[in-house]
This record gives sequence, C-alpha cells and structure tokens, in this order.
Amino acid sequence: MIKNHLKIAWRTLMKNRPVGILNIIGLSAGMTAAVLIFLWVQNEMSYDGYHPDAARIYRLTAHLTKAKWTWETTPLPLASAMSREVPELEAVACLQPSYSTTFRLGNELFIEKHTAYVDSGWFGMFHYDFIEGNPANFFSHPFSVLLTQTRAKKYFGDKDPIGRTIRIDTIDYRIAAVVRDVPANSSFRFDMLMPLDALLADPKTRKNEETYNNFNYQTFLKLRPTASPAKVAAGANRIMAAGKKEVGNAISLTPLRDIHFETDLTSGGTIEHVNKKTVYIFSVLGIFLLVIACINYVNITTAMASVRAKEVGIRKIVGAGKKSLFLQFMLESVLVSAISLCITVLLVWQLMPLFRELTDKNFPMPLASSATWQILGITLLAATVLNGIYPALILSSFRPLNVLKGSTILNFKDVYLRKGLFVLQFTFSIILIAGTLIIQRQLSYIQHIDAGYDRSQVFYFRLPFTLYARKEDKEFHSLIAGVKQQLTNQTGISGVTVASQSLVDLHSSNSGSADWDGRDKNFVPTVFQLSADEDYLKVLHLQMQQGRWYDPLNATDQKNFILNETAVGEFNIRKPVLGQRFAFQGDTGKIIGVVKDFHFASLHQKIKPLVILNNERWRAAFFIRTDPGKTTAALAAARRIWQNYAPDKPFDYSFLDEQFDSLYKADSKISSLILLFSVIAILISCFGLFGLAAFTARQRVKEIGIRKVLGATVTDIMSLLSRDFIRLVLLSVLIATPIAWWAMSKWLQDFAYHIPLNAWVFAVAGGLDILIALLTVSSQSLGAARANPVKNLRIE
Amino acid sequence: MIELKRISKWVNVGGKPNFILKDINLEIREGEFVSIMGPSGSGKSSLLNVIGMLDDASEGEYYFLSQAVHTLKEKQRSQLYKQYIGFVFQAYHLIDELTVYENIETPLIYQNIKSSERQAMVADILDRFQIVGKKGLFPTQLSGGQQQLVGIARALIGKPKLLLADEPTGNLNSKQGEEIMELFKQLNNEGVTIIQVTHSEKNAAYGSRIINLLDGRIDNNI
Repeated sequence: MIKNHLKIAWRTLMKNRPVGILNIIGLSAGMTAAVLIFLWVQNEMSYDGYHPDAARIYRLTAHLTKAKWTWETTPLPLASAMSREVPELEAVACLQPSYSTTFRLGNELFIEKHTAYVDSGWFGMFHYDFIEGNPANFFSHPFSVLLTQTRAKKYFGDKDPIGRTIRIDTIDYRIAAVVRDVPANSSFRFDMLMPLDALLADPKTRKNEETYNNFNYQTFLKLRPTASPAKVAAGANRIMAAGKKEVGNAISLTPLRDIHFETDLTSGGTIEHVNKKTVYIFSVLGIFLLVIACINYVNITTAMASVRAKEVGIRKIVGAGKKSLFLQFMLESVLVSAISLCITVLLVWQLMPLFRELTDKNFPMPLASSATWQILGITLLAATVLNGIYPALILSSFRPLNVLKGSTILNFKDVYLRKGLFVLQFTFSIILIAGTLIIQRQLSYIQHIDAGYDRSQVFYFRLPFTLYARKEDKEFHSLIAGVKQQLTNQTGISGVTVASQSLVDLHSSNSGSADWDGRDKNFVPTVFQLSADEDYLKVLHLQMQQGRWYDPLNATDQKNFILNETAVGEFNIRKPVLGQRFAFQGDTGKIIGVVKDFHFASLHQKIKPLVILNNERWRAAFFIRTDPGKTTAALAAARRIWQNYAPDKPFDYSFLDEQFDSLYKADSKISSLILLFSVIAILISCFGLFGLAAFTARQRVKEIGIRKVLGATVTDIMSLLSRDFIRLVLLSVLIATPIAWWAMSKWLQDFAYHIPLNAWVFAVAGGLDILIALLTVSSQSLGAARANPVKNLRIE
Repeated sequence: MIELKRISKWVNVGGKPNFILKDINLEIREGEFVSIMGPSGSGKSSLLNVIGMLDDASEGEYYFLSQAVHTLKEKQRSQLYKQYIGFVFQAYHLIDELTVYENIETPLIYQNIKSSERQAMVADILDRFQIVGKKGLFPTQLSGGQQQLVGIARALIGKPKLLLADEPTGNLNSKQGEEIMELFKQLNNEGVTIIQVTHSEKNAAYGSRIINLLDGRIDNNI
C-alpha cells in the first residue's frame, strides 16, 4: 500500500509540476533559512558550555561604584588570595589578554592579534584538545608558546612546530604545545597562549601587577558542587576590602555561560559579546520563516484539494478507509518535505561560506556536526507535521458522494483558516519589510551624519610604546617633532597632527581629577580625555564654538584646556566660559576654547563631556590627511619613515573611516541578515499567494465565464479576482504596522542618535507588499480573465 | 437480495421537506438485471446511491442480503459494500494519476489482498476484457469506451455480487454503448446482479426488469 501511495504521491507531484516546484522551493527556502538561523542560535546559546562543569565556573566582575564602571577584570592578588582563603573553591584560573603580540620568526615579523597569558590553573578549568605537547611542558618553562592548529600550520607549514622558537622583543619563546582550534562557541578566541610567568618575569611588571590597584586579570573560579556563589562573592569582597583600602569597589560572580551575553561592561574587553535580545529575535525569526513556508504548503495543498477531491472520492467508493487516505496524504507531505530537506542540505552546504562571512563565525563543517542533523531532523519533523496533518485531515474527510457530484468541498471554516494563515504570512513579511527599511535608513543615517569631524582620507599610526617609554621629555619632544616634520614634508600629505587617541572611538576617561571654579564638591563627573597638538583642529576639520585652539607660540597653552559643548553645559561653567580656571590631571590652567560637539563614540551613545589637554607626553598617534588620490604614496612615505624608527616592528596603520565603520559592524551584520531573511520570507509568501491566486482563478472559472458572457471586460475580471487578496493584504498592513512600530522603536532606542519613526515607512512597506501581491495575483488572474468563456462553461 | 421498505428521502428547502424519494418499496432478487428509468430529477441516481449505501435514506428500511442496512454503522456499512458491491459511473471516475493496471488494482489494495494474488487477479481481468496491451497507459490516453471498460473491470475485480451502474453509456457513442451493454448482459448471465440507471429504452431492454421513477415514486403505470 505504501508503495502505491508513494507512487501516486510522486505522480501527483509531477503532474502538478508548477505547484509542486513552488511548494518545494518555498519549503526548502524556509527550511534553509531556519536551519541557518538555528545553527547560529544554537552556537550562541551553547557558548562556553562545552567545558566540563561549566555550570560551576564563574568569573569575577568588578564594579567601581563611584565611577559607575563595570569591568571583567580584577587585581591579580585577589585570585591567589581567594584560592587560599575561600574554602568553597575547587580551582582558580587567571588570564590576561595581551591584545596583539608582535614576534619575529626567522627574518619575518608577524602580528598575532588574539593572544593571552594564562596561569597554571587554566587548562585544569577549561577544555582544550592538545594535539602536541601538554599543559605540563607548556608551564615547565615561562617562555613557552601554545598555538592553535591553524596558526601552527600558518607559521611552520607541515614541519613539526614543537621546540621551534619565535622571538618576542628580545626573548626567545619555545613552541611547547599545539591545540585544536577553539570551537566557534568559545569566548576565549585566542590563537596563541603564553604562561603568565612570562609576563611576570620582569620584576617591575610583577611589582606593578601584584597590587590591588591594577585591574588587569580575568579571574575564573570553579566552585565546589554544593558551594553558594553568594558566599564566594562575600569572600571576594572581604579580601578586596582588606587589600584595597578605598571604598566603593564591589565584586560579583558572573556565571561562565552568561559571559557571552554581558552587555553592561564599561569596556568591551577581549571577549566578543552578543545581546541576548538579538538571539531571541533570530530564534523567533527562524520559527516564523519555517511557519511561513509551511503555511504555504498547507494553503497550496488544501487549495489543490478540489483537484484531488475526485481521486479521494473514487478511492473511498472503491473501499479506502479514512486511515489509509490520511496515511496517503501524510506520505505525500513526507515526500515533499524529504525532497525539500535534500535541497536544504545542499543549500546549507553551499551557503556556508557566505554564512560564515555574514556571521563572522567559523562554523566547522556544519554537515558533520550532530547539532546540524538534530536541527535538520526537528525541522523536517516540524515541517512534515505542520504540512501533513491539516491537509491530510481535510482531504481524507470528504464525503465521497458530494465530491463526485461536484458540490463545494471546502466549507467556510477552511476558507477562513486559509485566509487567516495568509494574513499571518503577509503580516510577517510586512514587519520584515518595515524593519529592513528602518534598519537600512538608520545605518545610512549613521554613515552620513555629520560626526563633527572629517574622517575621509585620514589614516593614523601609533609609534611603538617601547620606542619612547623611557625617553626624557626633551628627547621625547624631539622624537615626536622629528617624525611629524618628516611626515609633513612628504608629497601627498596635506596635514599631520599628533594626539593621544583616535577620535572615532575614544576610550580614555577619568573621574575625580577635573576641577573648576564653582564646582559642587559632590559633583565628580566621569570625563573623556584627549591630548591633541596645535594642528588637530585644522587636520581633522573640527569646529570651534567659541575661543581658539592651541597656539604653538603661546607657552602657557601647555597647561590650558579646551572643552566640548557638552562638558561646558554639564559642568555648569561660569560665564564667560573663556578664561575660567580649570584643573585636570594635575595641571591647572584656563579654558581657552570650546569645541563644537563631535561624536567620539558610536551613535549608540550620547555625546559625553570631553576635556582636551595639551600634554605632549600623552601623544604618540600620528594622524595624516592625504591629498585626494595620493593615499598610496602617502602610505608608502609613512611606512619608510616608520622603518627608520622602528625597523623591528611591522607598520600598523588604520584609516579613520574604516575604524568608523567597524563601530557599526554588529549593526550592519544584523542588518544584512534581516535583509536576507526578509527577502526569503517575502519570496515564500509570494509563492503562497501565487498558488492561492491560481487556485482561486480555477475555482471561479465558471463565474468568470458567466460574467464574461454577460459583458465583463478583462479589467473587470482582474479587479474581481484581485480585490479579495488586496483586502487581505490591507488587513495584514493593519496588523503589522503596530507590531513593527513597537519592535523598531525598541531597536532604535539602542541608539542615542537615531532617525524619527515616520509613518511613511510603514506606508511604503505596506504599499510594497500590496504591489508585490498585486503583481503576483495578476499574473494568474490575467490568464483566467482572458480565457474563452465558452470553453470554461463547457467544463462543468 | 435487496429489499426496500417504505424508503423516503428528502431535503429541507425553506423549512419544508422536498422529497427526492417517496415511499419506495422494492425487491430485487439475486441474478436480476434491473434498469431504473425516468426523466431528469426523478430520483434515479438517488435511489441507486441509497442501494449502493453511498447515501442514507431519511426514512424506511433497507435489507441487503437480509442484513438491516439502516441499522448499521457507517463502518460496517462500508465493510458491506466494499465486499459485495461494484460501482460503474457515467464519467468513469478513474484516477488519472494511476495506470490502467493500478486503477484496477486499487480496490484489492484496500481489501488487504496480497501482492501476488492481486497480480493474478488483475492479469485475469485484463485478459478477459482484452485490455492487456493497455495496462501501462493512463486513463487520459484511452478512448471513452476503453475507459469505461477499465471502470467496469475495476468494479468487478473484487468479485461483487451486485454491480451498480449510473448511466454507464451516457458519455459513449452508440457503438461503444452497445459493447458495454453486451458486456453487462454477459456478466448477468454469469450470475452478477446488475442495477443500472439509464435514459435509453434500448439499453433498458438489455435488462430483465424496468423500474420507472417519476417525482421520487415508482410509477407502475408504465
């Protein structure tokens, strides 16, 4: 019987090829999207869960209550004190990221961007797959290096890396271990690890790190199975209070599994975070896409019911029971789902590189992982059940005689259900269209907003710290001035300025040292700080609100300050602002100017108070504005100058506009994903609409015939057929608009500066959807309207 | 074999019963070849459907092989007609997606007959109707007469005692019609009870008895 069912399922599919193809394309598109989304979601939700006893691992979080800062790092002595004094702990491990590490291999220089120092507890707490070497011989010598497989291959090719050396600064490090690349769901994405002892080998550094004033270490604790995190946190606070006399510091415990979703850290740190909200949004998106695709199938299949009805009727008369008919239609659904699944697997496989790029995650061979197959299995099951049961029930429950007599098969209830499903589908696609429009507009707003400075054609580099750290002030001045002079002399360079940091994303801030006349003693604001030279205003095209910029000929300017508008407003500086006393970072001088507000952080954040100072010792970053079309020449010149000063370091530079774009990398990633999935959702919805329109046209063939005989024109018929659909789409617009409005205003709230939420966006989204619907429907109704009525009427 | 006692069927139109069949009393013995005749709307097909258990009467008693059909549940009833009754339709009602062979085989599948046995039975009937060469074709590739032959073969494959035919020649030309009627005659001679609905006097003449219907009643005056 099954063979017979499969045979007829296949033939039905072949016979109604356009419908079958629509069904399968729609379903595979939906399933592919769902699988990709769930792969991503599964990866995000499983972050760091693969370590043994992950549920018992916590990280210390420091809260500097006065400055309202939250850090993922704590002082080094806290870790060792805790392992001694807190009995609830099973293990303690520490890590200090070292950001990028430059090293020499043979005669070549390399920069490894993701490196860290770990203490001897690290591999006991966190799981690594050692391919060569082991933790013991890694820690046996302080100057050891552990590499991931990919990196070992990159640097040493097929040669055995163990025992080879690389040189960092003046010390040779030995490759002691190679591990498998860390999985895509690890927070610790380091490609190179070194023992903490290597960092602390320098007695000065050790002294510096072994105080309670430096918060440099990510400290992880593994609690005993029965231990209470609150008790451990209390212990941490007790030790912290004893070690650091200052009040206003609190330590809390953050579960390892939550680290990936942290959003309240003051600085991003080295761990990549994701907003849990985003993960939930995408989960819902995945489910919706799958449902949309299934709705299509249900709609098209039940619409096809009238065609199948005759077969069902005959089968019943020749003796088919309800059960066997149900089985038959379920089998058909399984067949379609299975074909779609095969296409899905193929598509997922093909789209993986693109998806890796979009998500910036290295999903390893998705088809080899059991998670993928679980997701595929669940998707197939969901699709089969969603697709099969309802149509199978409807089709198997026809009364045979009614069918053969040609009376209507689908009653009102079914029609309403189908209309409901249809509205649901379009509601969703309108929400997505509106969402895409708003996200795109916000991102383009960011791109084109006047940030208050000119970031085009400017690149910058920072002199290596080792080059100037130990120089006296005078030597330092001549070094900086020398480099600047040489740069200025190059052709293709129109301006050079030296500053402490890039103004695209200013990180440096201070709390407690700013003072001015009239300050309320309890008012201790957190202030962003920037040191800039006399050419800064000119080179970066900042604007003065009042007063002037630094004058190189004015010696007192060394200790004078420039504030931004927000600082003047928030500090409530007495009038006239210019000439007021201002003290900052140990210097006391006057306010000589107010610079117009500019965005020195991402537009997610409001502009904060900024103090610009003129302390030359802070400055080692050179900002170079190039002449149009001369960028390559300017870069080459800068590289030559760099090599004169720092021949053992690679020339590391960035462009301001690239840095600016990277501020919104996460936003644009989400935007492109939403865009992709909207397109898929809309396409699938259109398939469904197409199928339904075809069905309606067929169902109303007789009515159309009669109307044409009575004198209706093609236009009359087309509007007759389209009217119902347009009404449904309009209903969808009504339902979708408030939902989209609510969702998008939530999203925009994450930006301190954003576009207003205009009604026209929703009008456009609705209009677009109506247009798409109209085009889809008319392709069908045109055929019906043009058909020869005599032929249609004879069919009956 | 069949006994109808005071069978009536009506539908309510605007609150008033509109009779389709009224007070039918009828007995058909095994081996008969009965033709039901009457103008359009006289209730011929309805009567046939009631006899075929595809439809219920509103009132009255129906005994089939001395079982009280009107007291049976839907499931038992379908069990009964599956076993004893074959249907032939004016519009053939073949399943377009199945080949001639598969169409004929379908009822056997639903009767849970083993595959090897099915093969033998289908081969047998194909041979008998001389359509072996057509077994791989789909209904749309056949002429009307051939399709009706397949329809009859399908009706007979389960070896029914009773064959119900609703205007079996209605869509055929006269030559094809005659062939079908000859076949019916022959089947009847082999012992199959046949009840056919027909418009044609000529076809009715093949039968052993004619029942005339007018406005849902048996009209004995003709």
